[in-house]
Amino acid sequence: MTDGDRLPKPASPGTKRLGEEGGPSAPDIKRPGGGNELLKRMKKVDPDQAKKYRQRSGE
Amino acid sequence: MRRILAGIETEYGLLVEGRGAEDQIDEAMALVRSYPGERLSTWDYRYESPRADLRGFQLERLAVDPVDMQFDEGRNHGAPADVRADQILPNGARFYNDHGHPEYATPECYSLRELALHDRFGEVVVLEAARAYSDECGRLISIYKNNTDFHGASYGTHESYLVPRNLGFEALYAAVTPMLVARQLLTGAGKVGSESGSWCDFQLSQRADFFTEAANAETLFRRPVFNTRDECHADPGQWIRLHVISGDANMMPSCTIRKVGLVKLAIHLAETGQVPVWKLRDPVRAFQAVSRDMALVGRIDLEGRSWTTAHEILESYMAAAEQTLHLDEELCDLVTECRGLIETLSTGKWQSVKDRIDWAAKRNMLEQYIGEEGGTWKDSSTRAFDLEYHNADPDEGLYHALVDMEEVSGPLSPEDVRASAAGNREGTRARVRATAVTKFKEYVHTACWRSITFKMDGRLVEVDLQPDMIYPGHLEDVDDVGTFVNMLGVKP
Repeated sequence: MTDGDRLPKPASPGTKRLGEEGGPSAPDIKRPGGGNELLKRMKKVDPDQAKKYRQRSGE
Repeated sequence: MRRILAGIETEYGLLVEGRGAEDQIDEAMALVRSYPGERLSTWDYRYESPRADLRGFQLERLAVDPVDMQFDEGRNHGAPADVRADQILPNGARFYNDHGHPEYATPECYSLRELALHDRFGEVVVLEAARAYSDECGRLISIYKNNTDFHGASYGTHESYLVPRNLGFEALYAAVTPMLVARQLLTGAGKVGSESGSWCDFQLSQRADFFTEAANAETLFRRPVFNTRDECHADPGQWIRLHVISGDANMMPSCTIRKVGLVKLAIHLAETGQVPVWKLRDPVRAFQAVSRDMALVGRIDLEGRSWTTAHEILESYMAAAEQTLHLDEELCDLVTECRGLIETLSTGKWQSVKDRIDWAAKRNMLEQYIGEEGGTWKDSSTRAFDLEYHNADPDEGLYHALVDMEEVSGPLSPEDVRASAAGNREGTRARVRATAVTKFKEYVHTACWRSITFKMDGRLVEVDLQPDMIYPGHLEDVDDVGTFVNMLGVKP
């Protein structure tokens, strides 16, 4: 994500996506699996993970 | 200018599939023992004094969390030393179980960057131990580098700074407390919701909800903004260890550097008598007000009828440091960077610093998700995202996803982090501890921060480690323990 960007929604049919106008772009090897790695991981998070998370007090 | 020795100790959150908080001491103990890397299993507790107070008295006992006491009813975890499961690592770090949390305490460092590297290496250590223990017990394990469970339990990330004893409590308190209150603006890890007082959607600090007093020696309950524990881990006639407990566990190395660097600035200014004078009316309320002020302009009440802001406090320290101190390169860079961040934040454009401050990265991530995918700040999933920002696993954690996406400024490379584990590059007293563990393990009877006791020819020889000494690199080349001990100033 960059300033002003939002987490990408699935593109609607017929919508051009960033990079399409200039032809095929090389895969971005810095982003595992391509696309928005953050959103992919957020979608996998158990929504109750923090509810289940109980700890002893520490120092 | 004196270089200030510092270290960071982080208690990690631990979630073991099918096990609860009541099992946490046993689980953390087993996890630490499962660490597959090189280590020496010992620790010398003789010099620990957690009940001593910098103000010159001893507490009769330390407060404990009443909820934790319920967990322990009818349980015997074993002898205290067994429960702690102490390990000394080849970089001079300490890895152990502290109240049910795997804790990694970095070796002592002068350089801010070296300290950040060792702190980051701690994540690797805890994660490797967790994976090994998971293989042993057959349960999934998650490790979190954060400071809250969102149910009212907090665990700490503490900083230690070597300070001359003659500076005294009053001067140290006056210099450091305003900085602790203000620095969260530039170093907070961010938290969804609140665990005391009224609800807030988001706040800068993970720890602010847990402070109830301005100053005391407690760490488990009735926590203070300024901790007065007097456990110096060196000659007590000469040194104080300033023990800071109000900071957050940072995922961004740049925040770790800033967090420690800002306290060093305050100490330097105290030592030269040039510290700005800010008399906070109530440090606890001020800390919490700054933490919850999402407009980033909130006022801090001062004694009398005046007030200030975190921006003004920070700027006053930067100006005093520039005008009166001969700053080294790291601290010069720190002042320049902080000034830029303060200027940006004072315009309200906090999104512009989301690559450099944990709370801004987290807030941006959550606001975008809520805006695009729906949900509210009170949803359980929003807190789950907060928690997962701190997941130490690079393949799962949300912070680590931001690193993968190059959304974090100045992450430490895996190569640099690994290199930090290979001994001690600065020659602090940790170099001696590291060398003893890697080369003379069979001769070490026990060790701690301030000394190593060797067993030689049927007797014990204790070597004091000087916290202000630079130990030469050729110590690491010595192959004979007698020569090694002799070089440290003790005749075997």
